[in-house]
Amino acid sequence: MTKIKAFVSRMPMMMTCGEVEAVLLDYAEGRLSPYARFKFELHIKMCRECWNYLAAYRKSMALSTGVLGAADDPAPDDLPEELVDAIMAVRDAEQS
Amino acid sequence: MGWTPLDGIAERSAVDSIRCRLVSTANAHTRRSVNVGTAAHQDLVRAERAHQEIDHEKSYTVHKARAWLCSRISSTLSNDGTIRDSQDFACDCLRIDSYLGNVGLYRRPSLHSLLDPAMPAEAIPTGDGTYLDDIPSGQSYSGDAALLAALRSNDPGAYRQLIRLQGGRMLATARRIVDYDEARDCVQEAFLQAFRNIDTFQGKSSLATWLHRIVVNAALMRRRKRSRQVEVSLDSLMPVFDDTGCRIEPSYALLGEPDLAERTEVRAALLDAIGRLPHEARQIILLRDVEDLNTDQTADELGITIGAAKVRLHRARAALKRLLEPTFGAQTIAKSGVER
Repeated sequence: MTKIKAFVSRMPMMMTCGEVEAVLLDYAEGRLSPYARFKFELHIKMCRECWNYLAAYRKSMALSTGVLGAADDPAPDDLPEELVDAIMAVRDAEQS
Repeated sequence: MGWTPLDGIAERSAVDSIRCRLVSTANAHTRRSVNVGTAAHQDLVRAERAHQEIDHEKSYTVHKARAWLCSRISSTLSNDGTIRDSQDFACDCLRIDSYLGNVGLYRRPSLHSLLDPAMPAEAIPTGDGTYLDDIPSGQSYSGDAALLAALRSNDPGAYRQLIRLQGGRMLATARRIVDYDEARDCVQEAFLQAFRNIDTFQGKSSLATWLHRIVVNAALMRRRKRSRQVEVSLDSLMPVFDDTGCRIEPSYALLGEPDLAERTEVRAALLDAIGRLPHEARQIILLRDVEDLNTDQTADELGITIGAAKVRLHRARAALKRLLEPTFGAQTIAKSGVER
């Protein structure tokens, strides 16, 4: 199977897995030119490993953005006044 | 002028162009050709026309900025066509920057941070018709620009205002990563770190977002320390290829549930995974996913080339994917075509 993939990757228009890896982020962020995107997707359609890799890569990107991003912004807590004073006290001490 | 309405990117680019010219003029502090101001004016006209197609309110704001710049250009001109008082002109530029920034026309580096630090604080406008020096001590500052200028002039009231303004949100954010007592420590640590670095804040994101990133990082570090996890080596998490250049990848991928991020154990695993990344990888993930900076802005923030930023981000994302696989990966996804 690997030999067949290696052979196919040498055909015209076909990218290798390594070449796909090099532009994967650009593809995931929609920055590839139409021609480069076509070649990328041609490879992805023929390579199960790269297809799986891309799916997982995208999922982890979406998770990271979802958990860390503004959409996850919680409602503010009450800020204890003694915490404000404590921060200011350390800041003043650092200043002097 | 044969101007046609632009799309969002070109429009932002036009406004960025204004900003660059204004910054270069303001930084010069020497007599410059009025061409700089005139070109900035032309760009404002273009931006205004573009915005007329999009948002009446924004268009009006840009119009006000243009009118102001117009009047200031004419009043600061000398007979020989140079700007009479570049510092005065710089103040006007700051006010326009404030107008444009307040309506969210672009994410800008703060002009305050780009200007010559020798510029006196009393010359800095607050954006609401007053100058910094007009504000009595203890009064609240409205807008990031005014607050930042006050912080940089070491006004204790401004520091207290910033803590009260952002502390509650930061505490809530940290509490979702660590427990309450640790979250309080993280907030304190984050504010002190921000105060020490206030002069280097470039304004690519808002103060709130910047503080949010610092507190998330502090909480992740505390979480890693508590769970005694060790930092991973990125090289060990990079994709593997065989001798023929074909990818060696397990035949499974991450679960595809849309509400994955809502699940507590998923959040916990993701936070642990990010916390285990080396500093550089964690930093770039936070810049992208917390501050929502684009590649150019990220590269600028880190002081590296765009190419290097892309490589660093890709390695960080690849490592994160690999770290998450043991938790979520044991399910085969049917191959149904390329996602669009």
